[in-house]
Amino acid sequence: MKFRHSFLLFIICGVVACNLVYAAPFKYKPVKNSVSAIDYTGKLSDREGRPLAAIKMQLSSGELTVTTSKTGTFAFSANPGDTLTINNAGYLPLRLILPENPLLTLVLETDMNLISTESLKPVELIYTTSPSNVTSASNDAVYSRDILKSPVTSFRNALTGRLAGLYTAQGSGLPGADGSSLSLRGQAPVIIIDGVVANLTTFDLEEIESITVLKDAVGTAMLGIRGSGGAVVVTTKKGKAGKQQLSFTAQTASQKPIGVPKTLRSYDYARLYNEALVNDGLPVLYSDADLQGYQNQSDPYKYPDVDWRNQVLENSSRFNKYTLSATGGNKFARYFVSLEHINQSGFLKTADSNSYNTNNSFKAYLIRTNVDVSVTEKLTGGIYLLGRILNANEPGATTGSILSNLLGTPSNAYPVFNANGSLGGSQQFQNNILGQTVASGYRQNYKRDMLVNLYLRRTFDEITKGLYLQAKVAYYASLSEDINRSKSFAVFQQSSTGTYSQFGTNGIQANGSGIDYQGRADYLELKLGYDRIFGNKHGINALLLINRDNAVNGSELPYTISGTSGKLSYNFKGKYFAEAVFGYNGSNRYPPEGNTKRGFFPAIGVGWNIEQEDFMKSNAVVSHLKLYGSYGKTGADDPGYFTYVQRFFDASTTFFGTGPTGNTSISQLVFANPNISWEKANKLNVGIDGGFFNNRLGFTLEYYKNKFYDLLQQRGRNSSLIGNTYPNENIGQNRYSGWEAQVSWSEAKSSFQYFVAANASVQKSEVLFIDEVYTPYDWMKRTGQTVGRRFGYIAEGLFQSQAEINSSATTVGYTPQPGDIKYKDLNNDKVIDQFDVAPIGTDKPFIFYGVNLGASWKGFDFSALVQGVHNRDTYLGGASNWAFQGGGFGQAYEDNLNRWTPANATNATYPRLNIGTNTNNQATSSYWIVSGNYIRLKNVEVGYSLPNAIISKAKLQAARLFVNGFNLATSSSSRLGGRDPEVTSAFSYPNQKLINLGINIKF
Amino acid sequence: MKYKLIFSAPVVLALILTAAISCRKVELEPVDWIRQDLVFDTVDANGTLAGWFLNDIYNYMPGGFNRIGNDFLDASTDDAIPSRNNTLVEYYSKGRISVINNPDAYWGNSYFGIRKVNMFLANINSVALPVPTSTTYAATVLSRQYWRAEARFLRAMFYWELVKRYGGVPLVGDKIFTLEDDIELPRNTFDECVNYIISECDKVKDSLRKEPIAATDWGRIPRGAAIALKCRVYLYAASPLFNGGGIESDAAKKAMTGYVTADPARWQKVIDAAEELRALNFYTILPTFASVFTTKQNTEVILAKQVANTASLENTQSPAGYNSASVSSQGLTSPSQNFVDAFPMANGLAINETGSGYSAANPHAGRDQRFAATVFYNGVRWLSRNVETFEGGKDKPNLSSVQVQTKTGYYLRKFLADFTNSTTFSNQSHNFIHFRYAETLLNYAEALN
Repeated sequence: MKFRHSFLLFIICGVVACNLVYAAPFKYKPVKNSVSAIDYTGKLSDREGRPLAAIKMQLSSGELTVTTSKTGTFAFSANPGDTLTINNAGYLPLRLILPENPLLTLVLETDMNLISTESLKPVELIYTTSPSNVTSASNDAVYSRDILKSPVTSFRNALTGRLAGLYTAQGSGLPGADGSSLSLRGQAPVIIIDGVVANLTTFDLEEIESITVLKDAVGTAMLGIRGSGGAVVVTTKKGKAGKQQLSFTAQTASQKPIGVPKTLRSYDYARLYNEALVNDGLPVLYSDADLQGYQNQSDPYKYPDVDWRNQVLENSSRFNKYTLSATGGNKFARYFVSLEHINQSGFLKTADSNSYNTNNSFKAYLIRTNVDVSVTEKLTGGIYLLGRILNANEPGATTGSILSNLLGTPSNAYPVFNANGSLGGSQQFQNNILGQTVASGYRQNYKRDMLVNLYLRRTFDEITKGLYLQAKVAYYASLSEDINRSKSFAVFQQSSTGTYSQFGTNGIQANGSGIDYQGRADYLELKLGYDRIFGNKHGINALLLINRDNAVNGSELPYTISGTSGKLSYNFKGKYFAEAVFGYNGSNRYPPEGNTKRGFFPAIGVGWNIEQEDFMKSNAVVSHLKLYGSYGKTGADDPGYFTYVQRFFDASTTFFGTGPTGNTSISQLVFANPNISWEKANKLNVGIDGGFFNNRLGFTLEYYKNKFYDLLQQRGRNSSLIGNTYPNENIGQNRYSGWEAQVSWSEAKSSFQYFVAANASVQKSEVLFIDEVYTPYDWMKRTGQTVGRRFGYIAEGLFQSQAEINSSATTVGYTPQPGDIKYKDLNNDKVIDQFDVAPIGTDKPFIFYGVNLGASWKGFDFSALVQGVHNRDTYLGGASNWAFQGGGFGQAYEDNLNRWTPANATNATYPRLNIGTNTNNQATSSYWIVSGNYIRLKNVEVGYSLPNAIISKAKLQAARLFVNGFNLATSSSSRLGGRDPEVTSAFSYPNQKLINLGINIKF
Repeated sequence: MKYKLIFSAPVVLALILTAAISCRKVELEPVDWIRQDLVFDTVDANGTLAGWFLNDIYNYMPGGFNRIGNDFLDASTDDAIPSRNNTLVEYYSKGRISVINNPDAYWGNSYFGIRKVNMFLANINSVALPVPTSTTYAATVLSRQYWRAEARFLRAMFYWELVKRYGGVPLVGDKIFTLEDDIELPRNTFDECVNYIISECDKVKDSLRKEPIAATDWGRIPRGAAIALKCRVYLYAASPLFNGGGIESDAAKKAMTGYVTADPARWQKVIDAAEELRALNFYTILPTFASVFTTKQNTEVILAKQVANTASLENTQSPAGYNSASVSSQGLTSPSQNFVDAFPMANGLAINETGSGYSAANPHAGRDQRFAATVFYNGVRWLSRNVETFEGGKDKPNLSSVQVQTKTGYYLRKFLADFTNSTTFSNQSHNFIHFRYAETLLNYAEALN
């Protein structure tokens, strides 16, 4: 530890010292390397004519970088015909072939985030950026303006449908924990924030400049052992030289749960329950008088009919968000600072009698400070800081338990309150849901973390133009603290004679706190870069870095990934380019003694900008057209926690003696795998990217074929005979391949702009090898199927008659009745058993897409995102779909009403009813697979920017009112019974539909 | 000069970073982890961890009681039915048992146990002994002898649990498999398996603890267990199913699942083994039936799987009407009328025999003491009130809010401690008895027939 600190100091001193030696006052001396060089002078301003200071201008001769003065003026010497480029965040890139006239007046267009200009922006790679025309990395990006359209807390939820190749699935709407899972070309990508791997996704969306996905080997090879999943690169906003700009946004949204399955009310429940009992050959439970009681709702205590959802849930909840940011700076220092407060209330009811909050609310306080300082002309440094305080609250019984009881408690289980005012309950249901919601105390979670990112960068133009050295240090610390102030409560059941029996006790409130999680990570990086264009012809971009990422989780030993990586890319006049990239790194979890083993992950890419060819120069249609491809190897490190060590650990206590006395036992744990290695992948990507009609029409088409191998899994041919559990071994092989396409059209006329952009991804997968056991029939083979393919019986509808049953194959030990599911007897042995198990569900390629469109006219703007998924299966199983589960005490749903009965034989969508488990009907089968396809109006935004005449009076720069919505409408299979296609478990917190109103003021 | 300095800067920094990575002095792998060299410590003369390793092997002994999804295996026979609907135990009564559907497979459990025995036997000799002159030397040597014998007995018992379910299984001997070994082993025949188990019992019986067992060692394998296991194995082997009467027609398969030909002389071995146990002159039948199950150490029990004292059996088996805030009482088993009728009268006569004194009007009176100790019937006292199993009674209320109740009018009382006059349950001894002297006597009787 001590050593590490002194080392850090040394780096900083080193860079500073180097600089002191050479930090002569900056003064550019024209290099006259050609007789025809001209001294250019000029002024750079924005569209409104404001001078732009401290903007870097690069000359294609590569020999110099010019920075504009305070008043936006500049002067340099160059040859006419050289290219001048300006790439500055917040403005569109500018490329200019220098004219003969030495007087230049340059205007930078503000980046309006138009689709037509996106493809021109530099690509954010992991450790560097690259002009989009000279990289072969497969990438797609979404920018601030689109990200801000979604009223969400985690940026994961703002990406849905916006990026080709990235599939998101939001499995829960729980405030503070509602982030979607991300799948990039079928893999889980690594998240990188400003060049540092950090899995943080809930922070101020306004501080994000762009989010880029990198999908192929060239894009991720420098990550080495972490590259296989692809990368999501988050770039935060940096300060710009110029007048200070303050921005304030206030938003308030109303959220409503969507996709909640409808449960049966008491009368239907009791009626169906009796029917199920009769089907099982058992006596009915509810007498006719009971049924009548439920129907008439004559006695709410004897015949309760409780709509629990109504009792404990509010119809809507609030989501408020306030963001204040400031940016500005000058030649010496630039800053971007932002503060955000999020206050999201839960949807549980609360009681005024509680002096504390019991709702499942979420509050966040987020701070971001990005400061860049130019110490001298050659030495720059910066501190990027993210701080978060995330506080969550919930009832003492926990939101999860309430949700699960809401689904597990039939309407007639017990009355909310008994006649004497006490909480209702019963022997089977001892947790009154209202009691859980408002009378069980509360629990809180306090999480705070911070991510600090420091860098120092020194250019060494004096050695050779374009050379720089950068040192970077990052530190992440996190602590999550649980506070438990819950209490138990008693429920009472009134017997027919009027006496009450008590279940549970009214306990005193707990007062506990504990550390739920703590961890930290430190990151060191030293980077040597070289970026230069020689003689307007040969562009070189080279990078060599060493880094070390050291993460500590709780009490575990540090997990350290260290190594080196590099990149060399060359382009000839921007026409042809080639890249060679490598990562050589590894982690410290390998034998024999926690050694660091490193793997070498190379990748190459090539590309051709066809529009640069002479024969295309006169072509007015094609604005740009790039052909590119890459191939390389990537890694995925998953060594477990020292799984190569054969460990012995405590087993269940054994008892001896008449005491009896408990005795320690130890057991051999799972077999060690001394040969463990990382998983690998070979990835091929080819694509074409074009812009036509002055880039109004844009398109990208990519094909990829990725082979993943050495995947860690248990060998298929295993046997308990060996006497221990098998370890994960590097044996699996999967292939993922697919197509991704993007098309866009955008047009800007003086006061009217509009765009349409669509993306679609087609994804196929195949299991190439899983060390499968011998199977007597081909249909039982897992190899060759899609990855994660579900296997089960093939359903052939429901048995309609005894005659049909008599002539069909049936399940062992089960006597089917009409209304039971009939299965296909694949091997024709008249028995339905494990030999009739085959792949079920779709084997068609998985497709997901998004269509984004918008328009703006004068001060009004409008945009909409429609997003969908195709060839997706949903399995309707378990207690959240089937009637009377949980040992026969469970819930029943409205879609169970359409069960098979002799009267409803042909239209039934549910087999005959049963109590609890039914081995025939509940076996995994295609009967329960329904289409999980959906199309969703994900996001709509309408905004109005106040005209200049008004805002200038109020001394404002801009003011915009907006309304946006999230998850507005969904079209999915009717067999889902109203369930949300993304929330697979109905026990989860439902996803939310939001209508959000906001105002943004800049001054 | 200038250039040299500049070049040196990144180089020096690079070197420092490399040095920083490689020179750190940290714990490279968890040093707190126990590994094999520590388990079988060649220095620790107490062999503490080796003893812990042996303890764990006892965990692989099968448990008992309501182990099939909380129901007794008996609930799949005509002795009882489960009080709940659609339970796992009905897989037996409904014929749903198949290669992929077996609630009581015990396959992996046995071979996991066998591997641990083999590891123990292969390494225990390397564990240090005290110096021969020390006072503890003789005791340690004796305890190591017990340890080895216990392990070998448990291995024989695991094999028996396999053979009884599957017929002949692969015998792995002392082999400890590694991931590289070929484990596609052929089955051994039923005969080979029986011979192996018997020979192991014979080899270890004199090395095991001799009765009486000290109170602190209760639950460890005694000599009588080896003989009792032998007796049981011989009984199964002599019974018609295995003794030439198997269901297989193919001779090779038949050899796997039993003896190919019948041999009535196999009964004699049961008698010999039972005589051998009797000759120990230690085990007896307790006069009070119920106390066999509730007294932890007694002379009828030969070997029981020891567990912590609990009230779990009381909670799952007592009549459903006692369930309240302070008592969990689920009444999961409903004994059948056939079962109840099978209990004789106290005079030894069956209820339908003349002179038995059985009264249909008062069917529970004058029965064998085992009846009251086995079945809860209407009117018997429990937790300070009488059991009410009549229609509408507290323990059979037929209410929709009480969905689990007896289906037969009886609940199961066997193995429960006496809570006649209590108001709540307390933790009691509920060891599952694997070998009981009464069983050996019944084996004896069956063999004599």
